[in-house]
This record gives sequence, structure tokens and C-alpha cells, in this order.
Amino acid sequence: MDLGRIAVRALVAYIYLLVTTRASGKRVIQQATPFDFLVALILGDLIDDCIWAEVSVAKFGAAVTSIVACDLVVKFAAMHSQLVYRIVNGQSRVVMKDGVEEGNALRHEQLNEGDLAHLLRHHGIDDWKQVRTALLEEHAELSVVRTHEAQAATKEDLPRVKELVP
Amino acid sequence: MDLQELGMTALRGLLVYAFMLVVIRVLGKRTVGNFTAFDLLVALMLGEVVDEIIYGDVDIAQGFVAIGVVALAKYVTQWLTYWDHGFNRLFEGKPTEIVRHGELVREGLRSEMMNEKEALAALRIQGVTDLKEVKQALLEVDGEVSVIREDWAEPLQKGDLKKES
Repeated sequence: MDLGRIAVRALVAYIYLLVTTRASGKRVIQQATPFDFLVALILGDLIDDCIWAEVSVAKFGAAVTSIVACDLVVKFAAMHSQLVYRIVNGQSRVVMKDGVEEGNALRHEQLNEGDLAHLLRHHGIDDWKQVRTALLEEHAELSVVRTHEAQAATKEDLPRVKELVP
Repeated sequence: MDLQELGMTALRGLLVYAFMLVVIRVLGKRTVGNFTAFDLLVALMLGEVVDEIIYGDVDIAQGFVAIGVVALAKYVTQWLTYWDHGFNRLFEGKPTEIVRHGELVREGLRSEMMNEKEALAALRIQGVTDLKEVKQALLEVDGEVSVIREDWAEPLQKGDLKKES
């Protein structure tokens, strides 16, 4: 196959993926759930056969449209139904409360104590007593709420600072 | 172009989508990228087998067996890692200390093939401007650097302002 046709096919596939992913929303990978990420990988995997002309452009179009349409339907349903949302995305789970890990929740996520310590270190925490609650969110990141004492001082604490520093 | 073949392609796309959704939900939040480099690789493997299935180069039963086996292997690995008995170290590795009490740990950097410049860049991303602020910095199994600061370098907390009684 000549080089010009490869270039044209690559360009057509690129533009088609650009259009369909724009149509399917603006969530970037960072905020996406594991499944959103996998869908992106699937779309990326469909393109090479099209570029090498192993499948026709029409077939590539049908495959991509099918995946993107499924994704749109599922996202739309998840937006309107709590039940669908939970089935598709799972739910955020409290994995730590008042400085103590919740063993059952951690086991459910297949995380052990070492994994929890690792996730907390990314928040700069090595003293677990500073944690009031920690949740493993749907997009698989840990969010941490610190105890009142361990929260950063803010402007509301200014009177007390002035008291201490006359 | 054969319209029926296009329809079949779309249908296979739908089946793959549904099957992948089930696989990801069963494997759980650990699966994709966030915990170790290998998690990311498994996601890439799963993403890479689907084109032949959707385009009909292999039949759908064969495709689902391949995906199922990779997913099952990952699932078993995750449990072995959870229960540990040395598997944690085998499958995930251990974090490597790169700074201890304000000083770079040379052996740690060498074993990770990380040079001083890269280490300092990773620390700057975490907001560290002076090495002395760092009590311990680890290169974690997910490839990111975590920083625990010396007590004096921690931001002021509400507890520090409590009235002494």
C-alpha cells in the first residue's frame, strides 16, 4: 500500500476519534474512573487496523461509533439513576475512621495496611491519628478529611494568633 | 460495503463494551494505573486484545476467553498481594527511600536509576524548596514520590494554636 494512502487513513481515523471523543464529554483521564480509562484504551486500539487497511474505514467507523454510543447511553443512564451509577462506577467507601483503618472496607478494595499507608503518604501523612475519615473514591483516589486539630490554620484562627503574638 | 458486516461490527463492539464493564467492576478500583506500574500494563493488555474481537478476526468466544484469563490472573494476583506472605514484595515491590532527614539517600537513588536532578524535580513538584524540610521522601510503587515533612516544616495546624490549659 502506498504511503499517501496510509497518511490519509491515519488522518481520517484521527479526526473521527477526535470528533467522537469530544462528543462523549470533557472528563480527562485524571478524573475518570478506571472504566473510562479502559474505554479510551479500547478506542486507541481500534485505530491501527484502520491505518494499515486491515479493515475498511467504514468498519472502523462502525466499531468506534458502537463503543462511543454504548458509553454515552451508560453515562446518561448513570446520571439519571443512582442505581445505574452504583452498578457502573461502584461507590466511594470509607476505609479509615478516627485514625483506625476499616478492615472490611479495605479487604473489599483488596488493599492491605501497607497500601493504605502508601496512599496516606501521598497526602503527607505518617501519623494516622491526624485522619478523621478517609474515603477511596470511585476514581480510585484516596480523599482525606483531617481532624479539626490537624487541619491547616486559616484566617478564622487569626485572633488566636494575635493573642499569642502581641 | 456490506451493511450486515457493519451491523455485526457494531454489535460485537456492544458486547465487548458490556463484557469489559463487568470485568472492570469485578476487578475493582485497584485495576487501572493508580497503584503500580503493572496495574497499568494489565489495563493496556485488556485494551489491546479487543480490536481483533470487534473486527471479527477472532470469534467472540475466543476473545472473551483471552480477556477472562488475563482478568482472572490479575484477580488472583491482587488477592495474593493483599494476603502478602512475601507476594506483596514480589508483585508490587517496596517503596525506596530517597531522602532521609534532609539528605539524599544515594543507594536508594542508584537502585532506582534516578539522578539527583530528577529527585529534586520530583520534590519541587511536592512543594519542597529546601531539602532540610524533608523528614522522609519515598519513591512509591506507583512511581510517584511521597514526602513527609519535618515537624517544623509542616503547615501550621489549628491544634498548634490551642490554648494551653
